[in-house]
Amino acid sequence: MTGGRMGRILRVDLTSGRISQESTSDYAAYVGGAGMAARIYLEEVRPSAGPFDPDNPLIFMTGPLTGTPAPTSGRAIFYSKSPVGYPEPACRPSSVGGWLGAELKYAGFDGVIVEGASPTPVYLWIEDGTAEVKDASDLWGLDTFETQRVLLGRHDARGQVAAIGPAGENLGRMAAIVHGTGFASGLSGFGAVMGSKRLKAIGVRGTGGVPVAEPDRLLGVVRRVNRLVYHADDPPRMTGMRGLGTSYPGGEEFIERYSVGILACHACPVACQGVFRVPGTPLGADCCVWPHPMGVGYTEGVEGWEAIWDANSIVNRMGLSSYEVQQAFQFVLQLRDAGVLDEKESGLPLDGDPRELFRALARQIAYRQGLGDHLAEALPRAAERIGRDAARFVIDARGWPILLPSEDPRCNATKALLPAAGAYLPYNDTWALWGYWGGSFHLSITDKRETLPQTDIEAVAKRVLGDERTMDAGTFDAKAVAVWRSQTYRMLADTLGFCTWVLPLDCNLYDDRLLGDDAILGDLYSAVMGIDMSEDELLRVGERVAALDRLQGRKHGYHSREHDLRATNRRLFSEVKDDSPFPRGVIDEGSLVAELERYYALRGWDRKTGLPTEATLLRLGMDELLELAR
Amino acid sequence: MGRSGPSHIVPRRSGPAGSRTPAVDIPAADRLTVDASRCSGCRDCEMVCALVHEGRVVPSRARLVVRHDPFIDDHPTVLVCPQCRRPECLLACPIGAILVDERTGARVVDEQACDGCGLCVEACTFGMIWVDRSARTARTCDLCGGEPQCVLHCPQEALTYHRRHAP
Repeated sequence: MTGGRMGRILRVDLTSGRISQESTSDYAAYVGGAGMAARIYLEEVRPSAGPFDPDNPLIFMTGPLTGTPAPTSGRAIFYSKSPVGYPEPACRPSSVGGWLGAELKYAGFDGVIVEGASPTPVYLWIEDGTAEVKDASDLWGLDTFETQRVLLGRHDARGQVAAIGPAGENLGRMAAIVHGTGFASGLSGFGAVMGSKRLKAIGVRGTGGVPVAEPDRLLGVVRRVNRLVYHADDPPRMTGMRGLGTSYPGGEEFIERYSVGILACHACPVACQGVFRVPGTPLGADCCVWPHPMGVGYTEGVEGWEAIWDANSIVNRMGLSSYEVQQAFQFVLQLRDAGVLDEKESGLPLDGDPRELFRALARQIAYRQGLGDHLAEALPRAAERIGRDAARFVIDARGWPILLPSEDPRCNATKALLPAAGAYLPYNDTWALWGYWGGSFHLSITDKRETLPQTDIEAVAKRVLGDERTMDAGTFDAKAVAVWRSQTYRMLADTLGFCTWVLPLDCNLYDDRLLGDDAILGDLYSAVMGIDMSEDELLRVGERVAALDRLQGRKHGYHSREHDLRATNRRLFSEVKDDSPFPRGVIDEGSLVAELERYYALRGWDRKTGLPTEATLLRLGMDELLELAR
Repeated sequence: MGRSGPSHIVPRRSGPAGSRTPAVDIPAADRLTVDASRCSGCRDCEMVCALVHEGRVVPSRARLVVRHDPFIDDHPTVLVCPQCRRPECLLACPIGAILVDERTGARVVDEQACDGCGLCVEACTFGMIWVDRSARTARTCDLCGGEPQCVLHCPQEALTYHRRHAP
């Protein structure tokens, strides 16, 4: 018996209102999630389709593990051409946690392809094998929480909804698709893609079940992972506000006073969200890595933390990407300090309480008022529109935001190589980022990681990647393999449906020898699907997704060696950063290019074109796409 | 999974079917309790329950329910069968198809005997027994015969199994 997939993909054309179904097995070679979505997109979409054109489909796709108890399998992906890509829009997946993907499986579908655009606001309701496009004129203008509340009340309180807020309706490139009170597909502006289709929300209710080939084996792996991840004396909760609370004054008091508990995505043993009840702020949950105190106008003390919670709630309700709004906030502060902006022109309380400023800024961006009309275009484009040297304050990776100062590419060679190595993962969004954390993030961030000697970390790097120099932040030595592995696992995560916060478990800090468990993913896949698969074979699936992504970029005009070479912000080659581990405080362009070429070689891509060679496509069993590589 | 070969005590009734007379001769059962403050809403318990009882991950048929309405109450919890001292479901059954599991004292449905009439569903004030229409039988928690899989797989240790039954 094979399990994992439901076998059907739903297709909804919002222009004609036509709803149809097709078989998932047509795309089985790409397994699920980002792999399948990219394959469908590659086949169907013309290169000239812009992110907001009706013929840019928005694909929601689950992985074969989604909906099962496979640990962390609650994630699913949205895939489309992203308006965040800069200068060229780029196709990407943007994943979302929570329970939406699992509910879609229980409703009988592996994915949903939404194409066309409706002339009037609509929402999609999917329930047990059926789907309906319904009028949403009464929902247009509501925030994401209100929209979900209305739809759950109207249809089924046990359903799951993802919705856009004002930011998506107004085609803001920072617009997220928000699910629940703290989950989002945030970083690719897909809220605006939904807005361009006048699609306010996707709601799902399913009472069916996901088949599992070997239930007993699956449950055995679940227990194994739970034991590795959960330690009652040192729970892996050093994340979000609960984690940061220990490092910023007032945090511990805030947690003590307001914490209600924790929240996990479907099937996740980690539970990285914190739930707080703060008087005056609506119910909600914080995201795993957000909000960062420095990004939202934190002022010392518990009042500052109440403001962070408030900022979190505003951003989620407006349907904004929290990461990007934080950067917009820092950007505005820098423009203010440099004298580029004044209060009158910006329409913002620039010199007042930073918390008030954040609140005003989030609203401005969501509703495109005042300066927010520029900022809603996301920072690289906003800087162009503002002019006057504003671009000096923006560092982006192919349009994607780099959270400063912690993610500055001059601080770490792996991060410096990421933007050059493609649009799939141009910034540090994979928490198993090798050369940075050294293994799974949730374990890396506990107190145990803090006390781990560098020699131990290098020993793990040597074991997992074959080269301890991956952990040396100040040179490009062995960074190709670090990026290769981080990216490949990220692609695999987006394809199978798991979370890189936990898996792969390369290093277990609770083990005396720091041994991880490199058989988890293969075992989960084999138990659910009933097809034996080793971790190496799974990595080959990741390789296939990487090659597919490259071909997608070639067809749609954003992937080539030339694009890679100009993906790094020029200023990083010349402007010295004082605390950089690089010898000269800048990125050395020659070393970067040399390592990029080693990265091409690892992937089997041509050194001159940066595209998969025919031999590579044949090796990966992608014969059908040879034509695209020529 | 500890589900094979359960033997049951058929409780003696001290009154007619559906009578309100206390059934003093029904032994205490083991039971599950939930520490809602630890629950993360991951739904592992629902999925695992469905998988061991139904052979696939069909949470709508799980014997316990994760309740989480994020816009009404921000925190999830799990609803479980309380294994009542005075089990109204058992007392309401007109054909004696709800039995007491000898190993755990769990009030379990004899799915061969049950005809799915639903009187037990009406009698249960906790909503923890329901009729599976396709199988025409009532379903409720059977404590997995003494090794509740939900407890074993809860990653947050939010569920606890209490032994109260003296076999």
